[in-house]
Amino acid sequence: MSEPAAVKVHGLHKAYRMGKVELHVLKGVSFDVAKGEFAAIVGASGSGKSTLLHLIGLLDRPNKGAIELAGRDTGKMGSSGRNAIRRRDVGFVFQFYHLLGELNVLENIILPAMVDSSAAGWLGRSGAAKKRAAEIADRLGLGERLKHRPSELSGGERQRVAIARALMNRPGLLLADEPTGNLDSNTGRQIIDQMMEFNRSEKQTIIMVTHDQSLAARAHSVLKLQDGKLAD
Amino acid sequence: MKHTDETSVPRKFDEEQMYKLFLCVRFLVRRPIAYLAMICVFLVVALMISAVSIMSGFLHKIEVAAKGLFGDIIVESDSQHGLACYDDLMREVKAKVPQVEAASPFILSYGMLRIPGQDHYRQAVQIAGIRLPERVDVTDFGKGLFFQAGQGKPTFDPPRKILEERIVDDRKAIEGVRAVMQAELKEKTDKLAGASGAKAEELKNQIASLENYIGRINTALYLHEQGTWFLKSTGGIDAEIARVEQKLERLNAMQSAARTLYGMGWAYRALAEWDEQRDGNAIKMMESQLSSLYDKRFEPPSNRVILGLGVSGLSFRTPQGQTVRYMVPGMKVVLYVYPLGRNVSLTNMSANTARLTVVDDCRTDVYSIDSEFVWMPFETLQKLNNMDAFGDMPARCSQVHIKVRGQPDEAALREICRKIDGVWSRYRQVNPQAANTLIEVRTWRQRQERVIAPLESQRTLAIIICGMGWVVTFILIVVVFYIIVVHKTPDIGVLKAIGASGTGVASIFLIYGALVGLIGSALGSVAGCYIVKYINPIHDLAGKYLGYQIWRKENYMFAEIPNEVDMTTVAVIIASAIIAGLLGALIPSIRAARMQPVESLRYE
Repeated sequence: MSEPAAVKVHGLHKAYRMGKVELHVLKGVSFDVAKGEFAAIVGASGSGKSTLLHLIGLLDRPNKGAIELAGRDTGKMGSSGRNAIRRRDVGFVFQFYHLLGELNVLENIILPAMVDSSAAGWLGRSGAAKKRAAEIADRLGLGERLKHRPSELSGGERQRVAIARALMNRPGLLLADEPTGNLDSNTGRQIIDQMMEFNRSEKQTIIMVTHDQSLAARAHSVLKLQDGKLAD
Repeated sequence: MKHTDETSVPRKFDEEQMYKLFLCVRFLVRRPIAYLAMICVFLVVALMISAVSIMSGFLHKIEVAAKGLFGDIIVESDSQHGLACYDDLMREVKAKVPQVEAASPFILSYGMLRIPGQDHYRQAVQIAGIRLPERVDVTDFGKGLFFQAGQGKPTFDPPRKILEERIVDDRKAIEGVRAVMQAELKEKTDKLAGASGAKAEELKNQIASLENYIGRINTALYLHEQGTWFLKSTGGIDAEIARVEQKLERLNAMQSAARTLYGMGWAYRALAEWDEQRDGNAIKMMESQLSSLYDKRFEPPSNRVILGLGVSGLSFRTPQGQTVRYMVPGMKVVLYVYPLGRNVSLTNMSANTARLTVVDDCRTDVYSIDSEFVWMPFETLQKLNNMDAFGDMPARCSQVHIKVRGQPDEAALREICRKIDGVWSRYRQVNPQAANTLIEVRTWRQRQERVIAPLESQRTLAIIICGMGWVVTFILIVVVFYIIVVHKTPDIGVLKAIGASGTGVASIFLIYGALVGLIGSALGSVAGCYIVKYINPIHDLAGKYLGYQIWRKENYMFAEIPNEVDMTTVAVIIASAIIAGLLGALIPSIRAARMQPVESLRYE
């Protein structure tokens, strides 16, 4: 029996209501992403790229269609099951980093491990979690910045912290929504290099939304969204 | 893709507590806006504890004093002549109402107090007739006595040695205060030499005030000496009085006989022994001598008095809070009693008088009691008040005070009142001599309603005013947390993206609110308790630097502003602060819980 796809999307529809107007953003999208694959989703603004990524990451529910993660149908899951998958199997990187300003670099990175721990469990786990966080930060060039707050970091550093946070719990799937959209091209390239490095070394499946064709070209596969559907 | 079996099993809500606590602490420490709510809670709690404790302290003092004066239950007659058959009543009640521990009769009358030798000094007083030491079984009367403090069973005939020792101690304390004042006087006098203008005027006033105090203290110390001398007087004076009285009586009899003979047309000389010039002068001298001896005599136990410490002119308080007594044991007063018992008519308005030796002074800490009451033996006042047995009229008293076992609440006391009423009704039916003695039985609180009710209203008013502070604090907490939640909207999206549940996110803000309430109220409680504990030094300092004292020790009988904190009140206030924090954070928390992660992440 062959290994199930890391992500399997079938007939996905999503519509939003904006006042009296209903926007049909996704109109029956279907695709598979294999385990360890680095896929890029490209498309014009408003084509539904981010919406698709949020649906895959279980941050939103589709109006129609199915999403399977590692062979499991997420449509049948309740919110606690979906929370558990987000906690352990999915990592998110956002365009605007979304770091918590009250926490320093180490605390931001460590946060997903903390969300996954009981108070008692954390006592036994915190040492290993801090070590893991320091290792990722080191690999991302943040070794000297662990005690710094986000406001003291550059844009590229903040995004690297966001990547480290997404990788903290060793998720099987990394979802990146325009991770370089707020960075200069040089820094953006470095960020993608580091993501590809993790893809290679930790066999993580990565789905990245971008409108930068040159970055998309570096992915194993490119999915082009056009008017809510995948273009051929 | 790593999908462990664990991930398919939803973790329980209570397993994910760590990040909530962690984020709460971080938000608390690094979000200064929450300090605003915390400071507000802190101030309201400190204010509430201070106001409620001090108001409750005053009320408690009044209640303790009222209980101390009247016992738990007061039995009165509806007759103006007083309560007859009181010994029967006390015996019946003690025998048939098991909750009754002790009972004691009480007479309340009115009169005029005069210090012999100071004709200008007269003071209207209320006179209480009490039985000592029986009374201390019913009330806290013994606790307020100064010269018999710690004696357990105070009487109107305490050992003179103890009184002498207490006078010596009191004198030393007063001399200590005088030394402080003298040093201050010297300092201010030195400063005056180099001062001018308004400063010099101020110094002059202060010097005049100090000199006045020192002068009054010197007078008091002289009177202390005199009191000690009277205490040391022995039976020699009584023997001398008896001898002079006997001689005077004889001379008076002779004078009377001589004048009778003269009226019958006989000459004075008809009475060979009598010489009008010589013996008439001797009578005048003896009367003067007798008057002087009476002043020095230590009266028998039936003619003793305990003065209320606050009776005007008998003592004063220094700015340091030291009570300086002019009247100490051994000194004499004259009491004019206007009888309330029988023989009261418009044609007979004469007062009954008694010369009494002071044996102690009493302080209940309630000005209206301490400034007006003097206490004397029950039977003596009964006679002075024409309430003693006369012919077929039984002896009477004004009230019977009853002590109840344990610490029953007001409802239980009222039930006991009903039982006492029932016992007496049954007794009256079978005992004709008591048939006409109708009684009214009230609890101490009912009896003191007019004094206690206004104070309770004032305390309630203070609580309401502080409660309004709570409302403002609550609104502030809601606003602060709403602002925090709005500012944290993208962070809420991130937390949900990394697997936090809606209830988990909501609980972060709820715990956050509770912590704001807890920390604010804990700090406020500490501050409030310290304010209450040190209210007197704080008040003194404020008076020293602001030049105005709200609480003037010279004018009040409370030695100090009440400074005891009721820990139940503190616990209730802390609990209400935490609840206010929780409720204040509740609405914003619900908003956070309901927020869709996608919408949160898109929020700008």
